Amino acid sequence: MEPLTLAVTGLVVLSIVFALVLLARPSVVHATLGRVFAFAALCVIPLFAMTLGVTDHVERSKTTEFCLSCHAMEPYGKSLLVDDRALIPAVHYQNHLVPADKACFTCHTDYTMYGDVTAKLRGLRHVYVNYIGGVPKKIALYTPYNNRECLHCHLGSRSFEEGATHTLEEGTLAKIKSNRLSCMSSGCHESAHNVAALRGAELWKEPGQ
Amino acid sequence: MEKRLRIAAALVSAGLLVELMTLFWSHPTAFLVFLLLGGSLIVLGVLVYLLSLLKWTAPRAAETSRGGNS
Repeated sequence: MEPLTLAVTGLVVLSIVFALVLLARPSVVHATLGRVFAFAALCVIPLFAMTLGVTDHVERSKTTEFCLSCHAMEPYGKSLLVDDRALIPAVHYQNHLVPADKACFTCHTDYTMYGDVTAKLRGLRHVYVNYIGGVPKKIALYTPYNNRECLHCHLGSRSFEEGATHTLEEGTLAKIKSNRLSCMSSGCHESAHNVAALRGAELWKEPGQ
Repeated sequence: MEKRLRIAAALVSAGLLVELMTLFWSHPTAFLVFLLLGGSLIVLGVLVYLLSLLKWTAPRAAETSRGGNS
């Protein structure tokens, strides 16, 4: 269990005990100390516990486990384990080029609750389609993949800045950096999750599994 | 006062229990349950408590001012 989750759990349990004391003996507020206790137990501590709870949930929602907890995301989780050195998500995940426990969030930083208001509304829509509306057969990004997601690691790295294809034509590097030429363009790094080709694919077994 | 305090304590406890349960559930729905159900119960409990304070201090303040005028 994460230290933050442990701290929130402790605070919530303590807060519940305090609230139950007041539920059983509300007469304690007749004393001055009792009124201070009631203020802490019914106002300060619960609101603090709630704020920490939100922080904990937000932190947890960045984990790979969280993203893959929805059935619709299963193939995308599987694509991280494909034994294919040409498949970008698999190479990044298996070689720990992205943190394995936050693999999805590292490359999709503007997804649902981490993006703007529109992204947050899309997140709510995802919950709706998951339970009521039905998940679409083909899942696609709402907007073209932004090079920023690649550049926050690759920018400045030698393999990127001096890469043969990146420097072949003058101006290519500038176009990539300004997001005018997508990293996912045809003939470049176009193979992303490719879930359609997952059936029968050989999978890498993570150590300890 | 005591009745309102009991209601506030019950609402806050219920909200915190919901929060406690969602802490052990790693799923987008857990976040929504925590925020919409747990959060609402906690905020409602806090509001009932603050309202009980207002209702409790108002008569005392009126009594004090009456006493001061006489």
